[in-house]
Amino acid sequence: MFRTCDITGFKVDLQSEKLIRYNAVFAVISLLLAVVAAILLVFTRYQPVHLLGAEWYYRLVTFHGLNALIFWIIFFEIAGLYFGSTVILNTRFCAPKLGWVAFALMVLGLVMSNTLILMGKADVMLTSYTPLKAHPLYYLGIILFAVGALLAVILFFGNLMIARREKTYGDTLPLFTYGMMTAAIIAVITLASGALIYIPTFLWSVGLVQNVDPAMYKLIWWGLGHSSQQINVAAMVSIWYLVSFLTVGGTSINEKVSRTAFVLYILFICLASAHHLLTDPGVSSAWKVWNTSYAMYLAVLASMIHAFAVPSSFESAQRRWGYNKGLFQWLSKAPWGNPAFSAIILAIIGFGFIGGTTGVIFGMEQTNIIVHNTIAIPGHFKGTVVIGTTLTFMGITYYLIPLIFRRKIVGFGWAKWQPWLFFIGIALLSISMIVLGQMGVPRRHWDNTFSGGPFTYNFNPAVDFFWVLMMLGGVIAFLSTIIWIFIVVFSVFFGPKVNGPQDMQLTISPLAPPAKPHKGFEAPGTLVLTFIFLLVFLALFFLNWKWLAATWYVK
Amino acid sequence: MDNELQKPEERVPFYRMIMDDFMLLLFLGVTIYAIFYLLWGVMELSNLPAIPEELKDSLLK
Amino acid sequence: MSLLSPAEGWYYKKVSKDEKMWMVIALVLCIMLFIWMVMWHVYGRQNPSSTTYKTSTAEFSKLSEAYIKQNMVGTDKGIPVVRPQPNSDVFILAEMWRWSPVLILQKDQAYKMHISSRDVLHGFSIQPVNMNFQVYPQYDYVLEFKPTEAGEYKVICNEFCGIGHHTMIGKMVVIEKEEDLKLYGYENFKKAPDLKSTKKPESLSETEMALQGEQVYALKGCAACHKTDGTSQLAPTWKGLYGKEEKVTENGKAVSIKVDDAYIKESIKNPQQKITVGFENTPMPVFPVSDEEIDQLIAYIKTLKN
Repeated sequence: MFRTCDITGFKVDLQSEKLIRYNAVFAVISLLLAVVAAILLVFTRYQPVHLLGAEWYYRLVTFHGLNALIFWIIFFEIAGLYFGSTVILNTRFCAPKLGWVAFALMVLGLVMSNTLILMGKADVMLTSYTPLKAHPLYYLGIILFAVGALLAVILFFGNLMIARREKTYGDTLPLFTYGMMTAAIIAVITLASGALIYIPTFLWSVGLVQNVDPAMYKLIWWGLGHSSQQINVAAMVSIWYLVSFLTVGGTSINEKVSRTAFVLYILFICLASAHHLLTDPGVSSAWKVWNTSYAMYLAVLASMIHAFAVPSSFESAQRRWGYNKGLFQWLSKAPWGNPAFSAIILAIIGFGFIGGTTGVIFGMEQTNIIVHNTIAIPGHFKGTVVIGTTLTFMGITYYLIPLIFRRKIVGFGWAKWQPWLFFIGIALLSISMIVLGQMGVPRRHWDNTFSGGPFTYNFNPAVDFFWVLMMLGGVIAFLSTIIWIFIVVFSVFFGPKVNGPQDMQLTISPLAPPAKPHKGFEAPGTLVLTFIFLLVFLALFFLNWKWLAATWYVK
Repeated sequence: MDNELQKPEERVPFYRMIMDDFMLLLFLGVTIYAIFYLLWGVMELSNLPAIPEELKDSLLK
Repeated sequence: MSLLSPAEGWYYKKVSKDEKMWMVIALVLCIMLFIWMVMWHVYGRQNPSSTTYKTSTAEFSKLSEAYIKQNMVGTDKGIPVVRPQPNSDVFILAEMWRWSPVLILQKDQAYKMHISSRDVLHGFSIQPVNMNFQVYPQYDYVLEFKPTEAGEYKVICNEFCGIGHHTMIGKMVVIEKEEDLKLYGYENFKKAPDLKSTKKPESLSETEMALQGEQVYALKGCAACHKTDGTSQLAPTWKGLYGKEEKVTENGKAVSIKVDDAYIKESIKNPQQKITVGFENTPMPVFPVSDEEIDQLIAYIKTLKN
């Protein structure tokens, strides 16, 4: 059963639409759980308040990690996978009943694991490194969630095969779907690694397996742990191209280049899980350097390609619309009043300048020594998965509400400001954590004064200032997330219905006019921005290596 | 419909074929990861030496 | 196009000049980053080590205890202090929730640190140099450190290891000259023991027994609960303990006993037999202590007069 969208013209399978909606709703529920925990954690690490006791602090770190890094992200991505493989391709969902089975497994898993954590039976952190042991039902919950997600990914591929066979989309997959396909492949790697590690660990927790070697555990676990975040990168970049199309009628200036970048992701990006073991015993430097780098640098090359291809898709379209003056008129005259647009541009800046730079530098074998397990690490990944992926998902939701939920956005005035508020909050949070970590402050740690220990240690007094910044950033980010959740919930459940294109508050731009042949650069403004990015990267690079060189010698 | 006759089959470029074949890409992605990250890593962890006897003796004797 | 299929001929479209330029620059950067990491192994002074030994928690604990016994020169807050010879093998044990031993190191000398855990994963984090390494049970991570600056350093744990994670903090001091020991109150410690003469003498004098007993006190973890400064938060203080009249509960009945050799021996071997009044909420676990070590502990306790 289909409906033909009166706004975009796509054939929408109603079963698929229902599955997309339900997965998206549970994504938002997971995010709500995650941020409520987050604000409590912020006010605990901010020691003048020290809100939670040690037990609940450590408990909620586990809770926050699971809901933010796994549940929120994967539920949303499944919605995206279904969207990209059915709506975009004008095709039907291959097996809706199985889609509901997948959904049910994921919900069951979420409920089980979260309940066990809150009951105090899984104080092991998201990473649950053995020999720390949680209650068997905690592991089982995660296994069920992963099985459901894997099923959903398989259904995605099933949809692609049907669409290809029934020739519903022309010759080649649209770029957005191609990017989601990349995400799906990485998801297979992720979930397979997850099964490989969680099943023996579950059996160990019930006593059927004697011992789970801690080094093997950590190696395999990160095949799940980091790859799950690489799914995000692929999905996020895909949405960036999508939003370029929706807001300014832009497309990649060279499809072959963009697709090649996605192929590089598929082949090499999962090797980088090795950067979690750089200062670990067991694996050799050769293994560490190869995996965290060579091949990963090809995947870094892919990211750098997108770093040019995505903004240039905006710039090229804008220039063809006539905004051709100087280097940046294409940007200054862009639809900043469109919250999806502003969210994506801010996400690109945040992900590139904060997350991407620190990611590469911290992920080099030697510089990892000065940041491993400090609070700089969560600082880094707030600069990727929060300011990048989460803000991107928030942005695209402003289109999903009218197009998939068929409701108008309630509080549209608030929606225009929300991405800015979120960006400022997370940027403050992320940067402060990175600075604190580089001054030695540990992550997952309840007491900066080490009371109860035989000695104490006083951090560089500058930490006080950055703790305050971190707290402020956290508060702003929390508030802006709650605003977003309110907008989404009120719009979806109580908003006025959308009855046609006239009800769209966000414009959908027509395709930009074709390019006139011209000499010279296609996107000079983007080139300048990427050069600035390069300079910032090099500055941070040399700073970190200089700091490393100032430490004791070690080999 | 004569005017929609297929052009004679153009050889699809090799790279284009790879790019479009998502099952092949899935296979390559999984295999490269499995070999370089998992297999190699597990092999190294399984082949570590024990603490040298003379070091142990110097402490325990 | 991102939503609709790409335009006809997309595969053959020429890459624009600026995109091509950027891709070349990016590729060069990527290759340089890889070469940089490899070169740092040759020319750089900070590299994670590739030396790991497989061990067991039992084996490493034994080695660590033996190492401390052999090399202990004093204690600091109940933790044994060791002053290793340069270029020697040092054993560092991580456990829930302490690092031992405390180390006195010489600036610009190299030490081969063997680091492992008795229980779960821990994070070896030296501050303020901010060097961070992962510590595993069952694996001996051998890191050769050469401190480049004198001063007092702390070792924090930055891998979650249970509810006491944030109380886990150790210490290393790096000295340049002997007088530096005064800065830390270590000036009266024994000289570093001569590695050649580790044979125990036939019978120890009372003072030597007491010194050994102090080692055992630190080694076995008694120091975690029994303090020697007169405070009794978790367990009765050992200060002024010997010969004291103590109220205890035995078989549900309150009795008064005198703390003597027999009482101490029983309290270690069978701690639940007599529970000191006021400490019912912090029951003492059974510790593996040999008879010889108990005698040494008793000798030590005797020296802790009021």
